[in-house]
Amino acid sequence: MKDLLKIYRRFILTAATICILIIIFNLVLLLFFLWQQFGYKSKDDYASYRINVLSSQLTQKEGQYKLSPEAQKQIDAHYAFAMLISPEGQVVWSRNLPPDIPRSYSLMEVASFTRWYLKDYPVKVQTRPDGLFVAAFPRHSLWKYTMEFKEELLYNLPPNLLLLLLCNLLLIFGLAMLFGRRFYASLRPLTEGIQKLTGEKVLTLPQQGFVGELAKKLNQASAILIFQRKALEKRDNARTNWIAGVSHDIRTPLSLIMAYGDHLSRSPHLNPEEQKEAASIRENSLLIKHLISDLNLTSRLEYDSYPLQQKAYAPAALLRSLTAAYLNDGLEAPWDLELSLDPHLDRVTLTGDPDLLRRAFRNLINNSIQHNPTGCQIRIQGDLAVQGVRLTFSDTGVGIPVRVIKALYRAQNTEKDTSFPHVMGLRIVKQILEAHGGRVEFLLQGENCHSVVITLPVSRLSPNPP
Amino acid sequence: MNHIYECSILLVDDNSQLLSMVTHLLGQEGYQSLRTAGSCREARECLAHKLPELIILDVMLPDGDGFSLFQEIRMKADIPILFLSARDEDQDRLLGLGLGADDYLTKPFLPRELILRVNAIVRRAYLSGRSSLVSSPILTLGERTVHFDQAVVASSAGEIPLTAKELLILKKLYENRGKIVTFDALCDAVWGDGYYTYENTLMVHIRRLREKLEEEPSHPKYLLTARGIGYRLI
Repeated sequence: MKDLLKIYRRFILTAATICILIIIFNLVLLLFFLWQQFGYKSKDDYASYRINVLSSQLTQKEGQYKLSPEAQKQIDAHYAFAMLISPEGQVVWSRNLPPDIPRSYSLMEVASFTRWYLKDYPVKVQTRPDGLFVAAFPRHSLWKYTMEFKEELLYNLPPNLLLLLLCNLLLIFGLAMLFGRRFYASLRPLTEGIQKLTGEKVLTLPQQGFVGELAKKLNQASAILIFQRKALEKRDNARTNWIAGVSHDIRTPLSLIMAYGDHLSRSPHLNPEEQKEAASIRENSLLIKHLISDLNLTSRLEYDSYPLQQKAYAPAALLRSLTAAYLNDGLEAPWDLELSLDPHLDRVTLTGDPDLLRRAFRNLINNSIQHNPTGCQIRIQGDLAVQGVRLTFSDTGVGIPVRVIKALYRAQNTEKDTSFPHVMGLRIVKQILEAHGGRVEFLLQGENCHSVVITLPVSRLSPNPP
Repeated sequence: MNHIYECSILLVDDNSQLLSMVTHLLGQEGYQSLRTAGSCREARECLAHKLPELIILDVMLPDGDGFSLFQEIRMKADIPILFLSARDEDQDRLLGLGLGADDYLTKPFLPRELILRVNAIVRRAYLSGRSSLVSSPILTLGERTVHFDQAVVASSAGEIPLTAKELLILKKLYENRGKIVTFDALCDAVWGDGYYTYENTLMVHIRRLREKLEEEPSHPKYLLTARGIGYRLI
């Protein structure tokens, strides 16, 4: 919406600038025109309009009037006729005088034509001591009008012109605002539509008005997006459901394999070697059980179809309970599990799915146990760091090979790449932590990683004890 | 019922091999009265004939789902029911337990686990009056004896009373005897709150308990500390 207001402001500013530029352009054009009309004239042309020059060219010598050849040329070229009227009203000299023009004039007739027309001829007059010099332009060549203004008006003309300009500017600005607002109002559904484009519903923007075509395109884009999203969801769901279905179908036969394997491993009818083989069937069935469960979880986490059971939990309590569970289940030499917690960690309460986190932590501990059959020291350390709660799972065993860690990150990008080693357990750890807004780091020591550092963002600290 | 193995059990599952395997397992354990049903209809027929004392019920059956059958059964009689299902999603487990099932075990399962769970349910449902803590609320630690009902520690030197909090701590440890009970679980059992607030108080109570229970409180033999995790009663 902020962007839209910015567009709106820029629109008004642009409109106002355009109008001001047009006014300036018009003023320049007017000045140029006036200069063209009255300023840019050759000396000859200029002279042709100056009646006093012509009048001065008419001289009287020995009772005879004589016009200079230059003035004659001017009159012939630019005027219809010229004449000199004596104070008594008689035409005493003329040039090219048409026959329909009177040869004598009364005072009223003179007063009448001097300002406007003489028999439709626009005329100019110049008083002389011996009469009135009259020069007439051809008919329909000049428009004459006598203007009268109050002095006060002329006196106030500069401030009035300024006021006029100001009013114009205000009007321009007001109109720009009005049209800008209308423009803004028509754009608003579009911007709202763009914002809702990633929503769940198909857009139904009104397709009228000057943005109708755009709205139509946006509605179409929204429909396509929804369709594609649904298709993608359908595919993801199909994949998750397929994995869930297959794993479901495997469970019952696996129960039988496990049970009979277990039964045979205890059968007195089998020799120790056969009992061992039967026990191996049971153990591997158990492994398949965990793999199925992991596969189900990882696929559901991958496609966000695993709803986190969010609740407040204390990470310190979770780690203590986890460690106690391992020790109570009989984890003993050659493995040694040690828990070391920062006392400040007891103050921390986080929000998340503790059962899921417990599963992630179990995966890390189980990795240390499974990959170090000859035993190792497993250490869980919990600290309160600036970035959040930092949990370090380390062991003194063989460590996680670099290629496994590389595969873990590559697996996300190239799902079809089946060359990477089995990383499902670690992948689940990463997925669970990412679902909690956390981070997993693998600290390398040479070619292997012996420490996995988990960082969980802190939501709130418990209040101080009473 | 004098013994858990006298309990009559109905197994409902559409997989006949699984039915035969579980029947075999329970039979080996000692259960003698075992019946099977491969569908909801068969299960209803069995129930109409005679009510069992425990039902092991699959969720996905060919002619209906186990959850509905469960509700139907519970409308008639309060029989303990254990769900044995291939559906392992949390929602299913929560639904089953939320309906009031006594337990929910997912396939594949370790035979021993099923047996132990069945035994536990039967014991709890029919023989709970004879269970350990309630029937014999006495704990013997060397020369000393704790009488839970009287909240005293008796020895040749006489009787030392236990405070209410000490008794709660000791009960919690006794219920999980041999296992580590975390600080958090103890605080939750005694104060219903987290460890952070009661860290020092818990330590004080444990010290006093040791003074009452141990010969040498500074070198405890029965109430041991699992460093950084919790306490364990041996």
